[in-house]
Amino acid sequence: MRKRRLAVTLLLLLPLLALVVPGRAYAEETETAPAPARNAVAEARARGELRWGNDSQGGAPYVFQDPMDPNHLIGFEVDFAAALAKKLGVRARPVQGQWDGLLELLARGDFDVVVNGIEVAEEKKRVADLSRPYYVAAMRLTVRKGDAGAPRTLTALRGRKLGTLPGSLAARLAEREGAEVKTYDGGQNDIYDDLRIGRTDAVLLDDPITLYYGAIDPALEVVDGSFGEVSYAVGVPKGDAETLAAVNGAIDELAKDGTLAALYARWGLWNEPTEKLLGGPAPPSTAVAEAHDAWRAAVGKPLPFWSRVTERYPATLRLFARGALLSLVVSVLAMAVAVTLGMALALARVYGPKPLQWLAVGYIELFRGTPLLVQLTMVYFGLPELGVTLSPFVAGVIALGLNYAAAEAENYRAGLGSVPSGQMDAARTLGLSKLASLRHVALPQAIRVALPPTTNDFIALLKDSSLISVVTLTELTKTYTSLASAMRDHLGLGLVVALFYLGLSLPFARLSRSVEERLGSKVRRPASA
Amino acid sequence: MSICVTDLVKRHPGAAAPALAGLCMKVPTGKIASVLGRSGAGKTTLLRCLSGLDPFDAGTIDVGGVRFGAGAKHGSFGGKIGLVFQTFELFPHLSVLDNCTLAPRIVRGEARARAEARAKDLLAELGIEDKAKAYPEALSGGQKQRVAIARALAMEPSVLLYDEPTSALDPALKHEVGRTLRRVAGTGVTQIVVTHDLPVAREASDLVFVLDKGRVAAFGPPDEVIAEAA
Repeated sequence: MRKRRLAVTLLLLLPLLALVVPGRAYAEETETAPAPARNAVAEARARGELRWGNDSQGGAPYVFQDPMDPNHLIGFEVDFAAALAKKLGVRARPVQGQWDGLLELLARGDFDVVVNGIEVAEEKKRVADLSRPYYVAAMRLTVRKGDAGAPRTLTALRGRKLGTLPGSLAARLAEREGAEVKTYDGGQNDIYDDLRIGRTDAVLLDDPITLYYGAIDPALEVVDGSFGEVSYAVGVPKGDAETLAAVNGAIDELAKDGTLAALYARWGLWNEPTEKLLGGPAPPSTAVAEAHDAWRAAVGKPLPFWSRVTERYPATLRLFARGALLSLVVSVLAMAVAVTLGMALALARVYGPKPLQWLAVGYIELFRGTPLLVQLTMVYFGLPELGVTLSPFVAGVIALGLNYAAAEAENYRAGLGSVPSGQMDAARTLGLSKLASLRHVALPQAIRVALPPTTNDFIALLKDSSLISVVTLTELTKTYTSLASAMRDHLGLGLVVALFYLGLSLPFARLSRSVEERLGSKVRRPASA
Repeated sequence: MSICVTDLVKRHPGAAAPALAGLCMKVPTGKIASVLGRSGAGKTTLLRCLSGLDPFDAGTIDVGGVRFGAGAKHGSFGGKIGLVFQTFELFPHLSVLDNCTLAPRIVRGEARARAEARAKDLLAELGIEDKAKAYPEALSGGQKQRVAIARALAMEPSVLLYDEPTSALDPALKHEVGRTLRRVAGTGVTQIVVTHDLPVAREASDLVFVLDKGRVAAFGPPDEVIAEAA
């Protein structure tokens, strides 16, 4: 019996999904649906800008927020993308995404190309095409200074804890050597922090990261020699031959005219394998790694907390405010979806005919019982397979709204359940229709009961909205993680972001309390004489 | 207006015997009828069918010459037959005045000012005009009952039903119920009172019906019927 019920529920869910989701299809946004014959470079030229995907949370020296002025993105790949776009005759516009999802976002049509330390590897070519490499990096091993037992060779890694980036060549290499690999999504700073405090025994990462995060830490030591090489290439949409050819041509020219050599030298990244790769002129021997020096000066030695508060944080406030605004707008709209749909589900479940009740129960169980991240991923990356491509904003609002509708439905059901059945009977004997009885008698009483849990849910939603960073939206949490990585400051900026979240949620908690008091006082008010 | 019930049948799903098995009763205009009977005799079922809360299976209900058959939908006599619940079921989120104006405004589309003026008149008639702005929780049992009566009367019903009107009241207040019934009868409304309370039935009603097994077992003036039953 139970099993049959489950099967029926599951069956009912399918048309429900079809009903709910494409019912909200935004036709005008389907133009970015991934067509097999995409020509990204032509699109970029028509638009006048090249949208290049990256994750600033990855940090220096690739793409990161200038620690001295976090409103600007800097990095050798920012310079590279600008030079590339210029060769293609357009402006460069960076678009944010989660690093390990950048190629999926490219396939979905959110970017024209990806420039963010994408390693040349077979598995990446399954999702996207890769240009000729524009940089070769050695892999470097970093250990704690003075750690006598530190692993200093690949074979010594067996059984030791090693930190690196997820999906990287370093991770695969270390796994092959039998190391216990720990990967980090947060930012490169975290990887070296964990090494310093002893959570890992060594870090294996590309030379640029090592130079900017490992080598500047006086407690760490970079082991001499290369542990392998990785090449970085530009990701272009799969099967897009025109874009691939245009990007390759542009890289060729940038290599030959010395632009790339000068650029790498400025960031302190010029090396022999890259010289061999590019085949062009070397940078002049007088070249100064000014960008690297600036980074060292900015973050090499952490400032005292109070100096950070007075000197560094004011410049971050605008970014935090922008992130907070996005979090708030997405949350409010998602809550509007959740409240409306939740109310409909609760009414269907409590007062609807049997099939509608089953549908409502199925919906609630499905959306309550599966992770929000899975739902968001399905809405954003899965629906395009059915021809529905939503903008990140709309996808975020819908996924959050659909998920929280399940919770709201249960709140309202509890509220409706708290209204005695005699109340509906009384309304009916007075001649009110069922709908009017609900609207004027049952719902006002139910809402009073449902208000506290609903406020609670809104505050939870406000925090869960941080998940929309996986669909390229830079909301409050993403703003924090990016800044923390760029400024090498997790604790201080963490306090700042906490204040912003409290600033968003406390007013709602207060509002809810005062509404409750007002509703409650009606009932408790003593009889007027 | 008079109410005439003919051969009313109601079966509850799964029950062996019908709750109402061809019940007949007639109450003339402006009269007060008490309905007595043991638990399970069909009193509550009769009220729910008469008030339109539950459908019935056969028979007719005739209110002032308008006849409703078994096909009549829920609430189709809404307004013509009112019901005062045992637990009153006042709307706790609305003031006394709003309790009395909700249905006239929503169902009959009456303007607020007119609905409120009529409601205030009704509350004054029942002696609780000073409670118009109070919320139900602040009222005593007797006051709640009179609000419930005013709320039902605001829809200008021809027939008003009461479910155990004395059960939620202090003994001292019980004689008040009889007075209230008389006051309402003065306006020409026909009233049917389901009760266990013999003294109230004897004092307040013109007619008494005794139910048994879904039928009227006895009826007549209170003195005769109640003397027989006792």
